Amino acid sequence: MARTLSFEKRPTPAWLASLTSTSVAILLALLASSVLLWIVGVDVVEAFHAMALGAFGDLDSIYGTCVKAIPLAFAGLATGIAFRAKIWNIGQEGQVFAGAMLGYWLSSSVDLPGIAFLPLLVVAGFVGGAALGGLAGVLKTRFRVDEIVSTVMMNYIIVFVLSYLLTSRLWMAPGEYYLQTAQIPETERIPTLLAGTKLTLAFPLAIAAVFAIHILLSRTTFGYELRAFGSNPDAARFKGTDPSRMSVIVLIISGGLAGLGGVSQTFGVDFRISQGFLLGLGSTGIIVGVIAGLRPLAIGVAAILFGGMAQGGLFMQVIADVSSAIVAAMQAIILIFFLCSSVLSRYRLVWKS
Amino acid sequence: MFDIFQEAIVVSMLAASLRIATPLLLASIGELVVQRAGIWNLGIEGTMLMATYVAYVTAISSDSLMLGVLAAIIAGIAMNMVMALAATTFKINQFVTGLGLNLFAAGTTLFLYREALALYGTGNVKTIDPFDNLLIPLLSLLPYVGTILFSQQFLTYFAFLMVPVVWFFLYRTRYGLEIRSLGENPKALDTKGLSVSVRQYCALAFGGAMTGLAGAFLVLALTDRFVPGMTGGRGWLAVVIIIAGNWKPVPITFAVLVFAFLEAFQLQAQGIGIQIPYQVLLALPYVVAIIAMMGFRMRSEQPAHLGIPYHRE
Repeated sequence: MARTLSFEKRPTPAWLASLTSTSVAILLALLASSVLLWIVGVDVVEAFHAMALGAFGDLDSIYGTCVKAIPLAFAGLATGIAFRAKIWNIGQEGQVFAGAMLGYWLSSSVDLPGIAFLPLLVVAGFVGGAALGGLAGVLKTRFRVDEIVSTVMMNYIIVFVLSYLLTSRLWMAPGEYYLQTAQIPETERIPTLLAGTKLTLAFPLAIAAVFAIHILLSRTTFGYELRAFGSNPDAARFKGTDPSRMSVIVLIISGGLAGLGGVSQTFGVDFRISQGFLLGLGSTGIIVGVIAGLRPLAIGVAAILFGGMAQGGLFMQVIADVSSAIVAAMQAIILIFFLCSSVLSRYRLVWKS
Repeated sequence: MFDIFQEAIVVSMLAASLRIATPLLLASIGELVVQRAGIWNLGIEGTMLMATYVAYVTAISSDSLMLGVLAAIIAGIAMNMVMALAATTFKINQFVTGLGLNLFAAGTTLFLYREALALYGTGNVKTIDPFDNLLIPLLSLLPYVGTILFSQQFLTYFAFLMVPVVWFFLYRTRYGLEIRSLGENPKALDTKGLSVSVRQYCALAFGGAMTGLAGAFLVLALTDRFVPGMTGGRGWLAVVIIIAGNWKPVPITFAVLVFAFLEAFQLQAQGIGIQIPYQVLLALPYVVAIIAMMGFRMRSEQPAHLGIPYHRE
């Protein structure tokens, strides 16, 4: 009798298998990235050593890692809440820009002391991202435009809007050569927690957001409704969930979270907007959300890990003379291996006769 | 005098439209077969980008454009085989896998590009001699039409030739029927003892080859060098085009021509100094894509089983 190898569903979802598969994925991804480094003739051990040192080597690098983790946590949460509801918001990239841009517009049009400005800034960041998310929600529910398509298109459109605001000199300081906005005045920046670092008030805000979304998803009726909607929209409709309303609300929250990521980066780290500063935060957030299994608390941990890679990448660029662009490649490779190995935690290979 | 000038502009704009349409058409027609086979592959952007990079590197190091094209085809197939493994064998969420492939291609090509730049220096970026136009004898001498239709590059002819070929394959052959039923009802195929996964692998290989060609065309015919992110959303536009074309080859071709004309218009408008911010023109295809999705309610031909992994129960 011919025996074939095939997948069979595991009787119980095994958390041990899940943890193992994630670790295996990261190891395999490191291996694959080593190949990339090896191709361009880099000392692989030295490079990874530099990266680890730059990420978690001393107190300063740990602060740096935490700073880098802030926008990733927000964009990761944006992914988590949307994908849990099976709403495929992949516009985090554009929503990060929109949040930062509305924040910048606010900062350039009002003149308030920091205490009064900061709450408004948080609102502006959320509203900026939520506007793009909400627009995708309306397009989805009223006009049947796939949110995948609309959010991706908006990622491109918003960058052209920024480019227009800069080249038309509306947002550029007089005499400025680079395509970037004027600097944000010191009174309107997010205050730092520790002098000499860029660890700002945004860090505890990000932690609060992680716990808030955790509680929202697992402890509230709305969270239950959202998860039910994600696993079976038809059944959820019978129980009284309005699918259109749910889709729009999820996209608003998701977009808003990404927008907060943008504000935290611009007003806490860069103090001005340029296309390069914000590029990639949203898409890295998608990876963070997915490899954390869309679970908010795990997203917090994954954001620190990925923030560490970003911070360590900069150190590696200086020490080992490797372009920090390797970090983006590594993160995507981790995602792909994670997706493949996650199958092994849900299924097992069996010989069938 | 003024009329001759205007005529020349219109002719060159239409010729440019066909040139710009080529990568979009190649990718869309390839992805059409993939989607008909039930796989919603969102990795086209990444597959195309990877193919442009591989085509460029191969062409400059071998000094042969055709080797570049070949390498791009192989790269396209390789990327789509990852998608096939994930979507067909592992039955992983297709959207997320596609995104992963896009990010992988963006990160890897940027890294390799930067490393090469550091090695050779910014001033020494190697360029290629793009493909020459292939003039069709006699026909290319016709006024207007000759310049617009019959003085293009060979991949442009190939792309438009593939439209009837794929149409014939999908609607007039048994294999085409099988591919179409994969997207509608894979179980029917499975119960007849025909392998679902073999067909999905084949569809993705074809889609990968076509997307690879699209990438090769971008770098070996439209420009002369690789620039990070140079696909600039063309892969995503292919996804939009398939929906707007209601999953049918001929309407898809029309949708491609509309987007290509928009881009040609934008290039021309910049040249003759139309008083609109150029960002508006650059953003136009993406805005039109959203509006087109609003207008096209017709989704009668959307495969019923699109994007849903097939589990044998």
